[in-house]
Amino acid sequence: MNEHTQQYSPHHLAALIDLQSQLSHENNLTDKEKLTRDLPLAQSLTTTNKTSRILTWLAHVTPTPTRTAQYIFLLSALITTLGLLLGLTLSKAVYHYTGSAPINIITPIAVFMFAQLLLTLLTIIAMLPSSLTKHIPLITSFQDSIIALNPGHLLYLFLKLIPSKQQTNMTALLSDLKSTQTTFASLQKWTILRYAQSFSLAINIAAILTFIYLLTFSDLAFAWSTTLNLNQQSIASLTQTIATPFAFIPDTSPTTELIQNTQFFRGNAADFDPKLARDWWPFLLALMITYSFIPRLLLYITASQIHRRVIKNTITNLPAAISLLTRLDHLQSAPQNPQVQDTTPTAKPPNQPLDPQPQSAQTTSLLIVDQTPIPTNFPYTPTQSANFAGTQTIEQDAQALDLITNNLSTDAQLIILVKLWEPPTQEILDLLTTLRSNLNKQTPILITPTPTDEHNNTVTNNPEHLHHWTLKVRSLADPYTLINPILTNQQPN
Amino acid sequence: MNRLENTTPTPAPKSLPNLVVVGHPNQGKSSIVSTLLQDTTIQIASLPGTTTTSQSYPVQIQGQHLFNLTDTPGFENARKTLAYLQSHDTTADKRLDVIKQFIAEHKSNSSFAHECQILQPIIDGAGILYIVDGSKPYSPSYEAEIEILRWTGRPRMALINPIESSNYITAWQQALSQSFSSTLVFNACFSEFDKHIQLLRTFATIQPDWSTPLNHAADCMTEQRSNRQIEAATIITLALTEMLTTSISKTISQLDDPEPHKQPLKDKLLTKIRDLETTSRNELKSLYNLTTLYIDETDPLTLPDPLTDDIFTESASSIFGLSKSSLITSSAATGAITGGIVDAHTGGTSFLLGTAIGTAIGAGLGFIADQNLAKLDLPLTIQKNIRQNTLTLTAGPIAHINFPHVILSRLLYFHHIIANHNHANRTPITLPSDDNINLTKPAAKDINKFAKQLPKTHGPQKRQALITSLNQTITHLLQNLPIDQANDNTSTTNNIS
Repeated sequence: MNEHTQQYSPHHLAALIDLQSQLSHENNLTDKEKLTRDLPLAQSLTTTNKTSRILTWLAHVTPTPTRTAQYIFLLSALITTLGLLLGLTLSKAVYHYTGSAPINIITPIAVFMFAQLLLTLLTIIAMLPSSLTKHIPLITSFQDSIIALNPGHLLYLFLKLIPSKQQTNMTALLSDLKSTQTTFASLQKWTILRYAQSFSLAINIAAILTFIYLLTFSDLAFAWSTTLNLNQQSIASLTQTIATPFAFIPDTSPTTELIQNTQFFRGNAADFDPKLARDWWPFLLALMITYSFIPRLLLYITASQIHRRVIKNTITNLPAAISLLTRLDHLQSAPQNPQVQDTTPTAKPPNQPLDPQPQSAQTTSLLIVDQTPIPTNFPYTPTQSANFAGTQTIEQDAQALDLITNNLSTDAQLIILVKLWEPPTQEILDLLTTLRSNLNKQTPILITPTPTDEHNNTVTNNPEHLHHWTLKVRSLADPYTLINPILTNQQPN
Repeated sequence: MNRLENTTPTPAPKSLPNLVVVGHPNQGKSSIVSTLLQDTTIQIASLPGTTTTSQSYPVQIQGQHLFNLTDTPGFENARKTLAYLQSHDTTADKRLDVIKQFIAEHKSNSSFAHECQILQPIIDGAGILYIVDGSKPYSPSYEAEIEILRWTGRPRMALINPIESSNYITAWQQALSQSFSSTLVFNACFSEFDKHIQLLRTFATIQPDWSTPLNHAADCMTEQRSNRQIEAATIITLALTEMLTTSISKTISQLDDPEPHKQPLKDKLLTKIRDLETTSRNELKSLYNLTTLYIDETDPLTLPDPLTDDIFTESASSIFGLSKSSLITSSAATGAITGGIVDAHTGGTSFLLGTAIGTAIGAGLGFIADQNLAKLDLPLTIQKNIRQNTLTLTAGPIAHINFPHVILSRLLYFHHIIANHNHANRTPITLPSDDNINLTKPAAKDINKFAKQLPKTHGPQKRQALITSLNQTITHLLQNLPIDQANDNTSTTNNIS
């Protein structure tokens, strides 16, 4: 690994983007190139965790650190900044005070409680897993509508601000997010929801901070005023209910006196107590924190955690990543075989014997190897025969060889009957070497492989067996040791 | 020089089981290693003596080291080796020392090089898998090998590998049962996955010390198999979804004649769908670590006729898709579902008239569709853009009722081939062309429902729910597809003797 190797977090979108990009580039490489490249890494991999294996590989094959993480951070920062600006504007608008009329507390209650609770509820519905929603009619369509209108789509909008050269990889993945692929379906949903929560949380933080700023640096007056037929008892009841979660904090629950003296009518401003008008702020601040900020913070944490988990799952579920894991497993299992075996078939052995037929001799001796049965069409009538190998001892073998070689006349030939299907071993080569050293250099030794068993049934007609015998015998470079097979047209059963 | 020859044998960790695969030359030892490792790069050759040194391979799944397999060269001088051992006969507890002495004295002797390579891992503590070819007769020359292995005292199991035929399996079973704790017929090239698991579990009973790791290895391999089926279902689901939604568009001037553009557009759509199929096939091959089979372009894997057939030919549709009767039945069922929904909305006041009419219309459409099966005609729409004075020609998506069945059957069939292809089997696959995968009726109904709903489903959540449902159907199909539903050229049936 070079010094530029970057570390990837398995929970960060940047890892997925770079992985997807690298895996798509893999299509340009041959399997051989990939196997050769990945061999050293596979051998050094100690982790069994799938994600770690993939990301270690990614760090290994990425030639230079990418700037994907920085751009993801930039996108996130842009979304957060927009949220902060929107929150600031919203708070300024809700708490707009000119001095001519007090701020109506019904407005912040509507905006920072009821609207926020509704949005929170919609977000929770969108977050519901398909296992819960699949049996509820129309709920998935409703979820899709919520996600379609979700501010998380700002991610796609801001992507256009990224320099075009850097856009390609991110666009590729984000396009995949929009595709129909199941692999990315969860990721798409949670990417949108996660960035939507960043955006919304920023709005709430900015709104609260702006409110605190206005409280600190200006003199705000609050009142309650409504055209609806709500009397002071109704408002008291409503505000007490709203304040229940934070009632334990002093001054955050509106008193009856406050409600009575801060009702604002256009006609009877004389009943309005401007001194008490400022006392609504602890209630409003607690309301913003309780009903806007805290639910959004919880949703942000939930969405972020699930998003991280989904990224990790997506990394291991990419089809190309599955192939990669298989490859790494393979290279660990068979590290000595990074090169793909050449599967080009060798030239088929000829059906006919490769060696010339021996010239006729006056006498024939027969050496039967490993109790090879003499076929019915055996063309020779040996004057003597002996057994070699099989159940015999080494000493008995030596005696048999002595018998054969000592009694062989100068014009005789030696037939060695072997099983066609048994591959020639070193033992056979040693036998042939011994025989040649004991016989005349020009005495024909005819290796006669037979394809039939003891019941004269053909065991095999595969020409490769004869080819193996021929190659082995040729390796002796003895012009008078020849292959002389017994052919049969009978097929194996 | 062969790369294997240069490799120093990898010492196997002592704590894990090590199974050494031994036998006569050319009995399929490397094939068995390749199959158990699920690795196509293990060198296999028909020429005897290709393996010249023993080589240990760690069997790993997801990086978890489960056990080791050691491939060895074939016995070349078994009788002389046995003669040496017997000439130094001693008490049973000293026999391993005699073998060590044999290796020490003969390791530089080329005549006994293979025997030394075979015996070294055994004296290091490996369990023995003795391989014989069940298509060749038993012969006395094997007795020396069997006796050497018996001498070692290590746990041993015999595998009868019927390379060319099963003619001599019984004789081998009788011969081997006297010297081996267990004998299993195991076709290195065509054995079913269950056999691989059976091998490990059987060895676990022979060597109680290895019971836990070998049973764990069997469990891991089974789990891997199951996970691969789930992953394969995802690959097939994605491919089918993509193919059902794929279209190709081209914008031309309103002044241009659209006719000359139609056929090239349709051709492009077909090419795109074929590419998607090829991609998903490659992913399936890669999933089962069979990609390397296709690397050497001079000897590509030959696929069976139905797979090399053009995806849109009449023969392919009839082979893989619905038969005439099932096409009409499936269309009728789809119509009935639609009609049933109408009935449900009327609260029963329609007296199932919707279902009846839907069934009739569906059956009629199925009949008409069948008449056009051979064409599998592609829809081509033309959209006028008045502002820009252009025409947009769009080919696809293909909405033919038989299309998803054709695609799904082809991919299921391909998966079946790949999932059951042993890594030792390097020969081209040739399968009869009349094989078929008949989808179960519930599955066919699910496919119809999916194909019908997919074009209308645009929201990601709803789409995901639909795709997930199809994925479950395909997973179920893969996990429950009977072997005889598709071609299966595996032939091992025997059990432990």
